[in-house]
Amino acid sequence: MADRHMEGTLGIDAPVTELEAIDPGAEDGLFWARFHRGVMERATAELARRRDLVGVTIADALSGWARMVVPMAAAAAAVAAVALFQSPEASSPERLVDVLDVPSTLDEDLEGELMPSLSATAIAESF
Amino acid sequence: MMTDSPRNDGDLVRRAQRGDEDAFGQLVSRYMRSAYAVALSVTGKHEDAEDAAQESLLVALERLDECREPDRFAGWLLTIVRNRSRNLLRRESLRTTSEIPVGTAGSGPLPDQALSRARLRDDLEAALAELSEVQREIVLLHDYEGWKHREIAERLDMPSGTVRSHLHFARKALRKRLAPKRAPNSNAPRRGAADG
Repeated sequence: MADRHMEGTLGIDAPVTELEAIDPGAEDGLFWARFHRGVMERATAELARRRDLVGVTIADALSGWARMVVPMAAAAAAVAAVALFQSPEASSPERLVDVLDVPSTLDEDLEGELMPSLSATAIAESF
Repeated sequence: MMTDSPRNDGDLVRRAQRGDEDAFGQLVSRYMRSAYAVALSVTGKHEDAEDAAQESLLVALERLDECREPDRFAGWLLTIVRNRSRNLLRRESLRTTSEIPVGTAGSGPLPDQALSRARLRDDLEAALAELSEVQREIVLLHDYEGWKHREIAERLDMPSGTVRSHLHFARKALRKRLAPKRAPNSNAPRRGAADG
């Protein structure tokens, strides 16, 4: 309303305020409330359909995620199990020595022992 | 002090797309009058405009996912209103329903005030019928619905200067048409009755 009034005072064409008479709400105070209610009643089914669609979409996404992750997790567990139990020699002292790349001079002292000793006696005896 | 700022159209549209009844209800509240105004500018008849406006709001809901720019919902909606109104007009081109003021059908003689309002509305509709469709739409959106020039220009996708021009000519034509019929409730004494 203020915008329209300002336009009139600035010399621009004043609004045709008589147009307010075409407002159906001018004669019937409940017209617009009825109009709104009528639209919302007819919109009920479509709004419900959209809500259902959102629910289905979320459920689909979750089940799709589960379908992908569960087999991957199972496969990873299987690989881990195979790797863990596959080769018993992997825990032998000799293999460990090889893996740790212990110099051959120290190797002699380690022969027959499971763990290299770093005690002072052992070190002294090696010289 | 307002505790909730009004949501913008984009927010409401996105929520309505997910079936939010409150969001769609707010969109209906915001635009039902302007939808009616545009429908009236096309159909020229109250009953048709009401039907077309309601139908358009429902079509807009069904096609809401096609609204590519939710923040520009108003312009998109009014395009639907215009098209549905034209379709309705084509379907009912032979309709000859007379203009019956709202709430008065079959109620007997009208009180003076209601009668004068009904006559003014008839005159307005006749005057509007003499404008072009775009002039009707613009003068209704501006002077009846209260939209600003810039809003109309943006939502109807036309330059602001063009909007002002259409508005100017629409007002001029309406005033010319309505001038002899103004002040139906005038308290001026009737001619010949005051002399004595």
